[in-house]
Amino acid sequence: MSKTTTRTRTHSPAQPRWERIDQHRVRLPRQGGMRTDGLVFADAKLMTQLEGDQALTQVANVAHLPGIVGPSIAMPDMHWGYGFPIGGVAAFAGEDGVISPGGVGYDINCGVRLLVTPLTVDEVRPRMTELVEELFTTIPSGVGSHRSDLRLSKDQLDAVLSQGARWAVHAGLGAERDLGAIEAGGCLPDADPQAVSQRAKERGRNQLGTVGSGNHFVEVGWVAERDDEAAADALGLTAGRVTVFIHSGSRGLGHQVCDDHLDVMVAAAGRYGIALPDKQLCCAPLGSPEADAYWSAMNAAANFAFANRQVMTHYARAAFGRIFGSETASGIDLLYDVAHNIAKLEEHTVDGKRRQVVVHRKGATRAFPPGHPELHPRYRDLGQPVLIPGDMGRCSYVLLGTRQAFDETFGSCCHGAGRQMSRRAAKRAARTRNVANELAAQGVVVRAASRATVAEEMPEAYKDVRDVVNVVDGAGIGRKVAMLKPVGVVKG
Amino acid sequence: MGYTYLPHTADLRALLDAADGDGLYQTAVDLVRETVVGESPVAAREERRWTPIGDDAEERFFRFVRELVFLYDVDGFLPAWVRRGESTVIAGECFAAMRHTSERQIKAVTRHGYRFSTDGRWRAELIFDL
Repeated sequence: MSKTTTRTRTHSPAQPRWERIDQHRVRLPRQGGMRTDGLVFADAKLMTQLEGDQALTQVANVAHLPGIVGPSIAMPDMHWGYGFPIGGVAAFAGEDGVISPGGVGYDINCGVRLLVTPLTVDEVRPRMTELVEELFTTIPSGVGSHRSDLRLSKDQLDAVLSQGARWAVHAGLGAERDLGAIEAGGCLPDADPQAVSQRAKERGRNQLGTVGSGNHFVEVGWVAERDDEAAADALGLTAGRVTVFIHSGSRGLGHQVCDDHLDVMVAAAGRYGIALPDKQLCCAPLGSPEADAYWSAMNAAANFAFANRQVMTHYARAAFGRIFGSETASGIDLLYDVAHNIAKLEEHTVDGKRRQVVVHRKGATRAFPPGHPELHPRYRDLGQPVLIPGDMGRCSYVLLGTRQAFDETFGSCCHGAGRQMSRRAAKRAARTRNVANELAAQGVVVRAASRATVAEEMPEAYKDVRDVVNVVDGAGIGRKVAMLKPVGVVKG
Repeated sequence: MGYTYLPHTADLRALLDAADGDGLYQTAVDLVRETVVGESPVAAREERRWTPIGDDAEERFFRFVRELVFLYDVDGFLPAWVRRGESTVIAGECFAAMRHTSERQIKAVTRHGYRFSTDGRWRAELIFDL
């Protein structure tokens, strides 16, 4: 990596000082109470887009937390979050290391999975409206969405929290092969259903198999460009192949787990003498009763999210089957499923020594390199697929994890395009337009539970995902494999 | 009494202002309702009770707003008005597609950016994770 340090700058009194390292990297040198540097992956254009946003301050805030090892990192899709920035990565270890619910977020194990169908875009386009309508009907979306055909008993919900996607597969909602294509096999072992409050269980009980609202979606796309033909072939991403992205998380159950433990950790931080630059960064020392309770509940909520996306996959296959036949449905393969709001216990090299660290990824994707022992044999030679959805008008990407990511970012990469426009600004911009019709004119059929969501999620509300992906590819923390273009979107 | 939106890249940030505590709680009811169903009329058809939790007024108000989010997520309960007391009464009705337009979901009320003051007027600044 060539390093050309330029002059130190700050864009506003509210932003911390930063200096450019190279074309793709910016450093926030230690300042104030920061215990370590900040490391931001962004080119000049993306840095300009952060003006007026508090994300850089949040990168600096994370660097205040005790036990942080390596820099406080932010990906090029970063933007203002709460506690951590969206796009934030930080690892903690040792006696003074901490775990923070604010480093995971409310939507625990929010993530994406990508399905590859046996169909080509030319086969699907003529029936796209019908397909999108079928997906919309089959997979509940929007505010308060729930499944009337999947009401879990108390014991079943506990089994979901323990077993994750395995529960769904064993319940007939998926194939055994799917599990190998999910981060951690779709089941995190430290989950304890008893650590999840009744209030959280109440919120989650009827929400399994639902999309939710906001930026969550089911998107039908197709392979439009192949940057690495050999890797694309190995992943089944042949030119013109139809794919399905599913983006959702742990729904109300995860939101409540986060709320419950924020309350506990606000008090705990004070008790343990941890100074917080932002209350949302409240945390507890690793190994403390408060940290252990959160860890057990967070892993359970993460399992709920894995199961949620697995159940949605089952119903997406069913929707395709009703239109294109059962052979098509059974030929739909899960390419990968990855979390982008999670904390994981992983082994990394820190200051030349192998250490167990807790890596927080808040709006960031795990991106393990070829040969990593945690990868399923299917991906061992390639590296882990990294799924980067863009906005509903432009494109999305499939990347692969790299050694550089493992060495520099605790095996992490970006998770999407990142918002650049507020929801209110987007709604204002859409006032005299019909965004759904505009997208239809571009060949993208959109069906949403709420008209407001379509306006707020308009393509211009997001950064251009190509800019984001070019930075991670240029920095070497992700490797481009294929670009997908949308043809049909179901939004909440 | 009322609320104004403040800039935020991804979520919803608002400043709530009222002459007194009752006004601030009612403003929170209005903000949550209007965020999730816009200007759809909401009638006081049923009541929910909430026992205030928290060591001080700042924490109690935060938890009240969070309760409003919880009630909507679990039951689709839309608040119309609130009457404070040892057992606070929230009146409203459940979401009905015939009467209400679904706008967006509030995932959570964040502690990030939360500010509360009772110096003269009652004010609070809130960020909703959407």
